[in-house]
Amino acid sequence: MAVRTSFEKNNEIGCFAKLTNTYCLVAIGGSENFYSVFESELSESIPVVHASIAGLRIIGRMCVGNRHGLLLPNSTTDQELQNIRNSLPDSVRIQRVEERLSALGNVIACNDYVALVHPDLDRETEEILADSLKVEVFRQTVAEQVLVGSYCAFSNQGGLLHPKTSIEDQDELSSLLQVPLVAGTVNRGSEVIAAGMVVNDWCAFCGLDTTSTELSVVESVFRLSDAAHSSAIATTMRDSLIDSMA
Amino acid sequence: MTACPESRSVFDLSSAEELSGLREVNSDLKEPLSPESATEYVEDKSPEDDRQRDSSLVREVSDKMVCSACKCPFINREEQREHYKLDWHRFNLRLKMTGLPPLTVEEFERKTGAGDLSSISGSESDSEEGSDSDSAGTSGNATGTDNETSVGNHRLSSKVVFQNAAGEYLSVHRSILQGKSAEEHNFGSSLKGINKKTVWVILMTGGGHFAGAVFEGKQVLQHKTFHRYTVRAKRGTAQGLRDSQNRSHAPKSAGAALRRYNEAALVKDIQDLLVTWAEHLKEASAIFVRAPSYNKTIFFSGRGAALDKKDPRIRTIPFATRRATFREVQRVQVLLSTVHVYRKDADLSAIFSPPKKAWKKSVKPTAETNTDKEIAEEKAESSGEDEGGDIRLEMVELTLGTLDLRESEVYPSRQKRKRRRRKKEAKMTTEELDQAEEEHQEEQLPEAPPAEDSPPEMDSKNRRKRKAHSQKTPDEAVDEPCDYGLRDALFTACKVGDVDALTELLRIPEERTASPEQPEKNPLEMSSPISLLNKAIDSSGFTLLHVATAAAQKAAVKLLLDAGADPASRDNKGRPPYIVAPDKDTRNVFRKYMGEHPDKYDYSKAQVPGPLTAEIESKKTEKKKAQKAQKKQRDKELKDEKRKQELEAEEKQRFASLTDREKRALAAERRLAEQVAATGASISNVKRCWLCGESLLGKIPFTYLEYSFCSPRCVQTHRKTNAPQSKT
Repeated sequence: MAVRTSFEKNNEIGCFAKLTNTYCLVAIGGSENFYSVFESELSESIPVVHASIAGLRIIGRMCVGNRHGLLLPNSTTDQELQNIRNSLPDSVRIQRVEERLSALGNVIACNDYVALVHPDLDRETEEILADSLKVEVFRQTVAEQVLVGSYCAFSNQGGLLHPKTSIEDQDELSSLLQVPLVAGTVNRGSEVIAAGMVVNDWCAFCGLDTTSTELSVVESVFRLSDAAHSSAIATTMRDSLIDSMA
Repeated sequence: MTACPESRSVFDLSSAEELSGLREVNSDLKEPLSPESATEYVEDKSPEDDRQRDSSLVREVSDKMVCSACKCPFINREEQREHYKLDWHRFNLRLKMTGLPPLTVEEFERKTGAGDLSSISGSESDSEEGSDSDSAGTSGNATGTDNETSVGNHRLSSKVVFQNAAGEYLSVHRSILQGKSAEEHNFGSSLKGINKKTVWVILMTGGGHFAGAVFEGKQVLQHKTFHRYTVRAKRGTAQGLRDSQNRSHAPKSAGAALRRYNEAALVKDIQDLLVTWAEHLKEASAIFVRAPSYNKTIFFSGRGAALDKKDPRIRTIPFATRRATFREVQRVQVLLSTVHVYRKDADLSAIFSPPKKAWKKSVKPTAETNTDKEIAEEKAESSGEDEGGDIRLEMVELTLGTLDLRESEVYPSRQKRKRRRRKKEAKMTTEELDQAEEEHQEEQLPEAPPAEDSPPEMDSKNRRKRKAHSQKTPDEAVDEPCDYGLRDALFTACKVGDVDALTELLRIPEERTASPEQPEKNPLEMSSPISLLNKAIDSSGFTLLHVATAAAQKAAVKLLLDAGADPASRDNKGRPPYIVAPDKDTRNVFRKYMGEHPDKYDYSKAQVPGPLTAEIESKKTEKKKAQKAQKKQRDKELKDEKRKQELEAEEKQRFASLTDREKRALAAERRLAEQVAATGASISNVKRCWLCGESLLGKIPFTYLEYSFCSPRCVQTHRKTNAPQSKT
């Protein structure tokens, strides 16, 4: 099930929300529309929490998490940390990390088992990541981009990569992450995948500009709907979707 | 797989056989990365493949395990996982981002090993990153410039391998053929040039040690070693080096000054020596130098430097060496001159195995050798080291071998020493015995025939038995042809303090001389045991008297002294028996004896301080008694004093705990008591009201000034009556 939404007329919803299998963080905004979309989709299964990190609303880019835990940058205030701690389930480990690359969401992409990280990420952060999120950490780039957290999004079911990711790299990453991957876009051709969408194992939210084709690719690769017809769309329509493929 | 190489000396190679048709075998190390993987990777890129995958890709987890950054394939998932944690991978990722080609593992290791890559941890500053990638670029173009021993892309091994006409492989140390700066030339001819007349000089320094030797072929022409104290124990570092490390705080201690002086002296010693060796140095075909960089100045710089740094004959020693000693120099020479001959079918890769392994091995054998046999062993062992890199299996065997060798080297040397000592002792004692025996026989022969009742044949078992029973059957022991048993018996008797056995032993000869009952009377008449009395009986030079004294056998000591054992005889450490006595009683035996026989021995020589007679002893006991009584009294006094003090303290405490009123009352009572005492029994109670005269005892009086009253009314009336008086 993929849903389109926007944050105060902004399509980069991945910046303002963080979605995992056990919780969803949503930025505190002027209007509650954005929040209510998530609320209506998720509230039955997981808590949807208003949050800010370091006084910023771009929580999706600042933090990284999965069902085991949540890593926050060092700039998170104690109050914010307390608020998040109180709102999330006790099984989720919440930890602040001292990392030079403080926009953790941009430098780390992860599901519940593996994480892809920026090549220059601190060793210590890598260890904390492996410990609290219980993931295996791989340093790799996506389409020659170091900001792996921005240019790819993946759940336990599948993943969407930067549209210019070469086949070799897709293969390599797919074998590394052990999930099927496709290269694609969101938000009418935006290559910043993770900024344009948030996804967990059963639900995805995309920017309001996302075309229906893009949406169907998302649904198929993340296995969000009954897969019978959508796989055909993903395979046959992919070429038209990604016209700038090298 | 490969046969063990045969090792020969380079000087013994007969040019006819081994050296005919000699050609060098290329020793470049191969790249471990197989070319197949690279081609495989290129194949991956073919467009058809792309298309194919395009259609089948969705919803499938790829099983192509390859790292695009490092261009290396993986066999399994574990390998893949491990790879992404490697520094190599991270470094290549960074290279990839800057658009540079990736490094292979070897290149990367060389780079990091060379130290031009200080840190590749994740969070570095951008400037650092830039410089890193710069260095990566330059070193990628000119690899090996940072490494002396590498040529082109390959590291040279320290050995050169030749193949002769017979197909055998000969491996020798590169440094014996070529100096490090020398141009490429024909190794074969230089190998052929080495013969029994070749002169080599080997110089080694380090840690204040110097060892140098001139060899002609295998012969040592000259050698010299020095040692000076230049390195502080435990701290390490030569003093000069330490001084140069921080000039402002050079140590000022006496030791430092000493070490500085010694360093200078060592340099001078070495330079003087090299001047005297100038001729040899001139004719030498190779000069091997092992000196820590700090010590190199000794050889190469200063006025009239003995060696020229640029001399092509100067070589370094291409393996690890131990402390500079002559033996080490010899070992180095043997190692250098060893040629390993491999058979035709030997595995080349084994011969060319990187020298690193051999290095690690060669540190191990640090055994000191003494005998020729051991040197031979070491040779075998060292030749074993050289081939250390052969095959894994073989290496294990060799390690075991060296361990065995070590063991057998360490123990035998110790055992040998022991054995030698034992032998010496044995020799000594047998000599003594012989002597004693001769004396014995000389003395005995004219007087009486030697004991015929004793069986001449004495096996060791018997003897041991006798030793055990010697006290019970002293006769037997004495009757032995060699008086080993007698000595034994005497020793045991002295040690155990068996006076009866001892008297028996000492008396027996007297019996033979027909004056059986008074052995003490004429000790001058020497017989066998008596002759033994003043002889050292064990390895530490103890006489019987020493033995008895050390065992604190007073009766035995007395007996021995009576028998004529000289208390002035010394053991190996120069101690007379009196000194080895463990307690006073034993010493008193000597002193008593001195009192009884003041002229018998030289007591001053025996270090017996003075005679001890019964008189002196009784005096002493009296004195002691008096002292004891005195002490008792003093103790008593002390006790009394203590009790008094205790009482006083108790009193004090009690008083302090009283209230002020009680104190006053006490004082008043006392005063009253005094008064009572003074006036007799006239006033039974002084504490009465000043006015009405009522008793105040048991009441709290009303007072003003020094008057006290029974009631306020009394006070008032008293004041009234007294006020006008005071006014006027």
